Amino acid sequence: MDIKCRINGENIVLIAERDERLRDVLYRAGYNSVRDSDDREGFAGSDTIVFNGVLKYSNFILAYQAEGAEIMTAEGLMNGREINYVQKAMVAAGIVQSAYNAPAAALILTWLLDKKPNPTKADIQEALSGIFIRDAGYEHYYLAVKLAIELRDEGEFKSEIAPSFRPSLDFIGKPTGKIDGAALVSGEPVFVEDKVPENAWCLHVLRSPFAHAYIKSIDTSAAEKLDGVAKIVTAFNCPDIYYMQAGQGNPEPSPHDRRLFNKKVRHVGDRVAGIVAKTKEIADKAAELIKVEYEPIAPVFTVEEAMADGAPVVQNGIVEYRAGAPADLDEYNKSSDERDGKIVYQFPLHADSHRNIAAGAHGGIGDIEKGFAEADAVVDETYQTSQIQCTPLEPHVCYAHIEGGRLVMNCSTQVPYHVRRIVGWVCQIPENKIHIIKERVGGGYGSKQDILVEDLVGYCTWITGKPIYYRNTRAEEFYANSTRHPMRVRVKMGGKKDGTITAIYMDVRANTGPYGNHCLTVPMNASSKTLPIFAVDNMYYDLLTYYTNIPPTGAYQGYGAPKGYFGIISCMGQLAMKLGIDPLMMAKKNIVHEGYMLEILKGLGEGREGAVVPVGSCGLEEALDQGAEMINWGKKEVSEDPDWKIGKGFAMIQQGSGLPGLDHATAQCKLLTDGTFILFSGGADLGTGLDTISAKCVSEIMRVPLEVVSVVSGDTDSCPFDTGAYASSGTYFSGNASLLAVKDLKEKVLVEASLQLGEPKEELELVWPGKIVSKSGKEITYSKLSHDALQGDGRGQMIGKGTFVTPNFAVPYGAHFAEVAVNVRTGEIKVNKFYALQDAGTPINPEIALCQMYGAAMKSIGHTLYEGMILDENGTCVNANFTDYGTPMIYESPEDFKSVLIDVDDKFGPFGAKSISEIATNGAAPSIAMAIADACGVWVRTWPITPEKILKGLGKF
Amino acid sequence: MVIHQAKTLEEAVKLRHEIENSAYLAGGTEVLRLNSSVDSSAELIDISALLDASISIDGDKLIIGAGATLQSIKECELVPEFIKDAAAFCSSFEKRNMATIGGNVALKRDDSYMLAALLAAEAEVVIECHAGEKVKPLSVYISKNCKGVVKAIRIAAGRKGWAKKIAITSSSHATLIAAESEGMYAISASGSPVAFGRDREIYKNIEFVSDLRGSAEYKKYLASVIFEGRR
Repeated sequence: MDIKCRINGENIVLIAERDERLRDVLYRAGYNSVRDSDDREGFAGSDTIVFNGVLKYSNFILAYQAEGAEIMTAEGLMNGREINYVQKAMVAAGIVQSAYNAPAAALILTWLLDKKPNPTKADIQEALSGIFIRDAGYEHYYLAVKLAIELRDEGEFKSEIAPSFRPSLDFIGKPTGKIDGAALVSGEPVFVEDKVPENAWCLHVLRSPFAHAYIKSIDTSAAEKLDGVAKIVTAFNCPDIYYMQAGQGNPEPSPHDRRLFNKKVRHVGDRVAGIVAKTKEIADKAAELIKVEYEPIAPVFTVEEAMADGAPVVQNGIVEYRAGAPADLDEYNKSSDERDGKIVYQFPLHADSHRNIAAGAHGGIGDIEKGFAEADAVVDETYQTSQIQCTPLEPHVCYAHIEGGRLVMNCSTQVPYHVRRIVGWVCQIPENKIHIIKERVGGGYGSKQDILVEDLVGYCTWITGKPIYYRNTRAEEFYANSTRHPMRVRVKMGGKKDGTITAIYMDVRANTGPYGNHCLTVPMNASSKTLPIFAVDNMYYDLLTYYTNIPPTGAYQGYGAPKGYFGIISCMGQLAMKLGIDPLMMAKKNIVHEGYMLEILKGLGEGREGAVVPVGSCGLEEALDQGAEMINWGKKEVSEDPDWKIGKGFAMIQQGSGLPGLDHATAQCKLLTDGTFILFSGGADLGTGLDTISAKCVSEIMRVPLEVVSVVSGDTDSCPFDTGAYASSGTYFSGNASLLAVKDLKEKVLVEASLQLGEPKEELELVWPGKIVSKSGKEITYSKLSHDALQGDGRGQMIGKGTFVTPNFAVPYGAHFAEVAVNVRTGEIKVNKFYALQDAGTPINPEIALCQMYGAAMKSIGHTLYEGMILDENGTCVNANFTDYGTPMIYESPEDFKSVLIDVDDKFGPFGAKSISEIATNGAAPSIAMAIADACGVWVRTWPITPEKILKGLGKF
Repeated sequence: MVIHQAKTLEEAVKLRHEIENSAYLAGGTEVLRLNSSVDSSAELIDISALLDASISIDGDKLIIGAGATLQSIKECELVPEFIKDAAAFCSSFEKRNMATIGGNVALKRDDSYMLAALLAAEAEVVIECHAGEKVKPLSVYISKNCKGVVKAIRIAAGRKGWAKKIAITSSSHATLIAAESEGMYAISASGSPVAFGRDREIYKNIEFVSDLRGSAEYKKYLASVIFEGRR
């Protein structure tokens, strides 16, 4: 039917089915800003439009109801190609990050400012109450409104957006806004879904209803007869290639324990069949026609169940080693089951799959028993974390087609080069036949470090030749994706009355679920990112990771560290209270400082011996001191309402900046013929501002405006190799590679200028805005320099190349402080104050860094208090949607929320920069747990810390 | 999806009776929602254009048209504060701009934003039925399987009261909603029928169940102290 309406001031005729959702119709008509993050749940707000003057979810409007309506989408905010004042303010404030919802948020705030030119904080909260922001938190949205008002009323931003760093530099450490901010906030077609042609075929995955079962047979014959079904892939016709979906450096510290489809399903939602069909309707019909005969097996869901004697074995395949096979391997394999397939280790992970052990490690320093013997008090407690979903607004998605005999894939990924490698393995084709295009990523948070959909989409496209589009449903994001490993962390800590910690022991038991993605490295992080913050002589850890039948786990921002910190800081807080001393004093007495030799690292490598290095730049003590002052540490706050008890807590934290010795980044920078620049980076910008960092490197070194620099990144054809954006590697590794490439280009420019000007190279300098000047007064612009170098007698294009590898660590440190109020009658918890103080070295994009701290801390507050996947007795996730899962929104944001960048210059980072975002997920759980204990005396040692658990702790029922 | 656009409320009621598996479509926030409590195969009878959305005082009664959105209720000065608070239990602004009070009442969800407050306010429901317009106490309406269209909600103007929602997050479905108005108490706990009456200990009549939002013991405890917690 035709629907006549006005959209963004134009008379439009929409063509739609009568019962179609308006969201789908608008998107199809080219209004890309109207997206869908929640499969019509009415939660995330990506589908927000102004409908007859009112903000509404377009998913809840049927197309015919738009007849005669006046509609506005984010596309209507633009004046030609110029974004409006609100959008400019949003970019300036740093909140346009992964940006899947940024256009909708811009529309909402523009609507608000039209209605209320000077809105209150409550007005802003109300306006944003229906939109989910995961990446940047909500705090700088208030700043964005303030900036928008200033721009509207005074023609410029007046307020400080973020502090500036390094006065001698022009771009580095200055809030400039992201170079791709305008494209993202305006709703340009920058995501994978925007690149899908109408003729794309559909991939539907038939999934297992059982948590643990052998597939005895699959009959696809009836389904294959349907018109429009191109191929059905199952365990019985897929390649016999074992791999893993973790996007890690090769050889990976994760076992290759799966194929595209397996003869055994290991979780509810595991792949059973992949159906390539012309339409979704045909695929759905085909799925109904597939007959699967299962042989169910008893499942195991917890570490305790998995480690029990006689427990069902989740991975009972034949074990192979690429290196380091044990002598008794043949004997070991005698009890394997062919139907379980294989487990191929790249090197030993100390696994014992027959006992459900996916990986193991242990190590330490000093004499742990002696340390405990010296203690005046010992606390020995166990902490349990839950299964957390990353919830990127853009679900996992992929479009692939064949072009020129090559497989071309548009991906939303953190690891384009790992995608290329793994798709190559699965398809059994060389990498030159594969082109991965990393589009803008609408939220990753670690889950897009894993190759969760690209393997199957790539294979199906390669064998059928069909252009194929696949997108996870929101529910699939929960039960067929990657999540935080649930962990049981036992911490035993001993200390003296003077506050000295004499010994720390950690026993980490992690639940990796059905497959071994990150099964060694995530749990390792629970110790390797926590123990090195302590200057304690006696420390030891044991680690075992277990296979179970819960939905898959994998990488999530913070990796294993948030779980480790929850345990170790909670234990320290309890120990301090037991000793009758101030936990902050105890912390300060036992933290590392610059130069302290980290002997503990020797046993904390990722599957190999770690390097012992000294602590580098370290703002930890300053973060603790400043945070303590901000929150009035030591002052007991009292509520006027006797039901509400107030308490304070803190956590000192650290993370890393990539993986020295493992990660590798490269970049190229080209001087174009008109004197402008393109930097090609292998790094994957996930909305984090990595491309802006690369551009700033060019501007800073070459003395040119950001406007003359473009960045192409994450395209495996045009950009050089990079291991990818994970482990907080972006700024340190990819940024350093960009910096090295630009420095190399500078050298080449100077050499060429020397020749063209006839002046010694040493007497030349680069001068703003884009020329080379000699001491004698001669000068030449980049434009002329490049033009002449590219003439018939020229010496060729000037291209700088940078490769960054390093043995050096650039560790970010920080401290998070929380003040909570606990209602001892109802158990309700309010986070009144949350202060995140972090040493990020030189924050290259300070406004973006602050927002990442807010976003990460908000995620962590969510994990601590609200979020958690719940499985029923069959292993089915029963809260696989945003609402029931407990996703925090603006009203969950702390009333007083501050992020502070501690100014520390690092020796190894680009311009002194370190990582910023992952570390910020580490502090909320321990600081809030400590604050709750301070408020009401109850230590809750399991995530999420709910009112119900507090009431139980108080003995209320 | 089969959709009927009724031209009058009478026609809508007739269709609703004629089509066994059918549901009214008003604001759309529940009927069109993923995981809706309404059968996804139900034929929809669109009454969104037929509902009165006004809020007015008629004598000593506050009349809220069934088409009034939760946001318009929250913003209306005529509406008692605790009823506004209940409307705000729907935390999403966009959703409040769409969800209607008629729809919220007619759905009778155990975690309904409005039911506890309206029951405490001893609200009446104006219904368009087969036999024409009827007025029933809300307490009676929710106990019947009525296929009529809710046309309006009536409560005493100036009614005083209090309402509180306890949930995992602001946007979660409620674990428990309690309301009190001039000696009338109401509690809706997820998984259990709403309870109401003049006895503060109405919770004793509720058979609490454990679900995603909390254990039965937790809900029972909350219900036992929630009115004491009012300050």
